[in-house]
Amino acid sequence: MRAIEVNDVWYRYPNQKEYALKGINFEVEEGEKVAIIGANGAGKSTLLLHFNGILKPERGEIKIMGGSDVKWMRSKVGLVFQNPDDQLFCPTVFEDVAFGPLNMGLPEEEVVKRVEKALKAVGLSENSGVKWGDRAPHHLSYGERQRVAIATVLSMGVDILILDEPTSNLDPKMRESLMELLLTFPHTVVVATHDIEFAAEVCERIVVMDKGEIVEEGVAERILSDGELLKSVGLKAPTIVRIFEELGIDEKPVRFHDGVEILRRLKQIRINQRGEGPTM
Amino acid sequence: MSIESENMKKREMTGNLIHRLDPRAKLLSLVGLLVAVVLSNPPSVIPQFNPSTFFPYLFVILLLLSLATISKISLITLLKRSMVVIPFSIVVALFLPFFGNGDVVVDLVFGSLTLSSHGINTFVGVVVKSYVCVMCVILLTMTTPFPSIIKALGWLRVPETYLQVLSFLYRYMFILMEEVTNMKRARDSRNPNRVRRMWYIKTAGLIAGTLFIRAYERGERVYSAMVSRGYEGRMPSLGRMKMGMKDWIFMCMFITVSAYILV
Ligand SMILES: Nc1ncnc2c1ncn2[C@@H]1O[C@H](COP(=O)(O)OP(=O)(O)OP(=O)(O)O)[C@@H](O)[C@H]1O
Ligand SMILES: [Mg+2]
Repeated sequence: MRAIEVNDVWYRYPNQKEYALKGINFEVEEGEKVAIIGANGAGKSTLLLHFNGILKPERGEIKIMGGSDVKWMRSKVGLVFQNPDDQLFCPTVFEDVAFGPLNMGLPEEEVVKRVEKALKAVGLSENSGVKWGDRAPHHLSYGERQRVAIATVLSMGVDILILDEPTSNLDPKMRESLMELLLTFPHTVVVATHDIEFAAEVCERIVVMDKGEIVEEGVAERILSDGELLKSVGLKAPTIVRIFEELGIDEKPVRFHDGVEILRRLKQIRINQRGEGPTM
Repeated sequence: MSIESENMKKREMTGNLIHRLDPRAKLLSLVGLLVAVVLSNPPSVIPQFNPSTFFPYLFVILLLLSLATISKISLITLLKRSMVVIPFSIVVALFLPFFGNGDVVVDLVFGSLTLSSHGINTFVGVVVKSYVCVMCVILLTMTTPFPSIIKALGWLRVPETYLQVLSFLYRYMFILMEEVTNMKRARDSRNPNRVRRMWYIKTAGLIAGTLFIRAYERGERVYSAMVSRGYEGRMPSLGRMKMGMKDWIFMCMFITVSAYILV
């Protein structure tokens, strides 16, 4: 079954002439990890807000796991907003993370278990000395708030995880562990991001947006190694791709480890060649 | 910031008797005492100064102070914070001495503007009582985390909507304050040659307007975050409150004191 189906969606913010989305068509299969990339104002956030019925398309339709009922959509989709202050509204972190599961009517022990698990997954577990659960969200650092925001959705055990700019304020270690978390997350993931490297590591498919339209989509290797395309929409290829381009190597790996692998092979070849040639 | 660090302190001090009491017991006791204080007869200063009429209030203040000592709250802070109400109550009660019947004590303008003894007594009563009442409330808030108070109010059947507004206020006050600070900083950092008062006043207006719009739009976004996590008009809550022996004893103590004040 398709996790997300978007059919010719048009959307215009109230009192605005310009359409923010102009005929978007795309699909996400169940279990797939997709990145939506695009410059500022391309319409990424606008599109994501359609996935759980917060915004309604002016024209076209959206189906989540085959249904388009708002309640159904919200039970399937967990959306993490771009700004964590919009996401966190309870007096304590614990209550905020428990909000979703409690609304789902789960028993108390189960809720507590889920909250602990979700907080642990974002690196805010209780045993690290600080009682994160008791802290007030408005007195955390921005990056910490962002992690809590992610935990509030993880605790709901949704089938589709949607993140808007999840890495924008994370430190390298946290960014790494978010990567790991998403890679091991067994369900569908959609991320909107400018963090090209992050998209390359986590997602197998990339959708490129520009001025409210999808200009290109395809497997990560193809899209992210296309420097021209990325440049034309105001983005940049991953560093590893640019290094290979600069060196004039035909292969264009988009993931860090693939690049290292290729370089290692090239190095090996050179050593071998030296070994065969006339020695000093 | 203050509320946050205070909440932390409250949590750290969970070992203390007063902090550990059930919030409902504390709320009921202190509100009961407050009502008793309000309803009690005002002290008498005029025509005859009668110190014994002040004893109940002194007694309550001593009781509150000793509770504060037990829960390791700084007495100075408690006394000082309760002071904030004095200017307000004086302003509100300022005209009381001029009204009220009873014998005229001072005649200011040939019988048309007079101070009555009843009026003066009421004035003193209002000021003293408001001080004591505010002290009750401050003791409550200093020993109880805000979320627990909300929960206790919910148990007392205070309307859900009202409580939600309260807890959002608590949550978003800080964000709004932060936004104001940020906007002010942005303004000042773009204004190297300062001073001009008129300009300050003008930009303050702009900031207020922007803040209003921002608050409104944030409200919309927060609401959508809530519905997307299954909100249907009711705030779920976790954890039950338990009334134990000590809670009942605490309440009985307060009922006795309240009765003493009323009689
Ligand atoms: N509430 C709003 N009212 C009116 N116009 C809006 C609103 N929110 C966004 N827009 C406009 O819609 C367009 C798309 O905005 P959107 O937030 O979806 O971009 P984005 O791709 O998420 O950008 P970013 O990378 O900066 O987050 C922009 O031109 C923006 O100005
Ligand atoms: Mg955005």
